[in-house]
Amino acid sequence: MTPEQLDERTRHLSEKARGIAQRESVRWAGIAVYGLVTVGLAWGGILLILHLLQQPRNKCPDTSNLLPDPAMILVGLGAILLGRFLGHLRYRDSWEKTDVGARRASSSLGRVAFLLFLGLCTFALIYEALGEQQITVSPTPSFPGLAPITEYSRCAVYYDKLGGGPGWTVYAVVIALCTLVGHWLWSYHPPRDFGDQDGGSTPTGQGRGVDAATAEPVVQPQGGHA
Amino acid sequence: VIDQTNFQHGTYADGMAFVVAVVVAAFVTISLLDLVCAIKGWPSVGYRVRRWSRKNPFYVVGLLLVLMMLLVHIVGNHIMYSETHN
Repeated sequence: MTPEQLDERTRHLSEKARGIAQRESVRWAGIAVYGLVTVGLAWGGILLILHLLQQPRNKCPDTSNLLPDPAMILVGLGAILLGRFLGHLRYRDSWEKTDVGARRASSSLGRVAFLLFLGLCTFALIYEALGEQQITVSPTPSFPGLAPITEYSRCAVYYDKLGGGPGWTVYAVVIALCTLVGHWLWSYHPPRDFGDQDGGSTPTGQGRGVDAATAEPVVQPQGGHA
Repeated sequence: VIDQTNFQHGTYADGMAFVVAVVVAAFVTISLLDLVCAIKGWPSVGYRVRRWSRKNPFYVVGLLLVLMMLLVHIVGNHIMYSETHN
C-alpha cells in the first residue's frame, strides 16, 4: 500500500469514526431528553396527587349542563386519526440492534409492559367494583365512602370547566390519549419485520436501511419517513 | 342505582388522586421500559405494540371500540348520571 493510499484510508476511517461518535452523541442527547421527560412526568404526577389530597372534600353537584360534551367525543375521534397519520411527521423503524438477543430482550420488555398494563387494569377494575358498592371501612362525614371511577372523571371535567372555560385540561388529556391510541394501534406506517420476535429466525434484511448480508441496521434520523 | 349521597359528601379528592396515580404509573412504567430500550438500542415498546396491532386487526377494532365507549361513557353523560336519570 502506497503512502497516499494509507493516508486516504486513514482519512476515511477517521471520518467514519467521527460520524459514529456524532451519531452516538445525538442518540445520547435524545435519551437524556427522554429521561428528563420521564422524570418530569413522574414528578408532575406526584405533585398533582399531593395537590389533590390537600383539596377540601367538596361535593360535585350536577347543577349545570357542563356535561355531556359531544365536542370532546369528536375531538377524541379526530385525535385518533391524528395519531394514525402522525407517522408522517415522526416515524422510526430502525434500531441500533436487531440481532436475536436484542429482539428477544425487546420482546420480553414488551411482555412485561403488557403484564403491568393488565395488572393496572385489574387493580382499577377491583377499585371500580369497590366504588360501585360504595365501600368504606368506617364511614365518617369527611370520608363517607368510595365512588365509581367514572364519577370522579366526570367530576374532574366539571371542575375543569367550572371557571367558564371549555375544559382545556380535559381536551389536552383526551387529545394525548387518543393520539397515542391511534398512533400505536392504528398506525398508518407498517412496522418493519425484523424476523421472529423471539429469535426463532434470522432477520430478513428486506426492510429499508438494513444491510441484508450482515443484518446490521442503518440508523436513520428521526423526523422523516422511514 | 348508585347512592349519590356518599359522592356528594366528597371523596372526589381521594378518588381523583387514585385515578391520577394509576394513569401516571402506567405512563411512567411504559416510559421507563422505553428508556431501557433506547439505552440498549432495542426496538421500542411502541414498535412492539404497532407490530402486534398489524397482526391482530380484530383485537384492535375491539380495543378501539372499548376505548371509544369509555370516552363516550365519561364525557357523554351527565355528571350525576343516576341522579339525573332515575
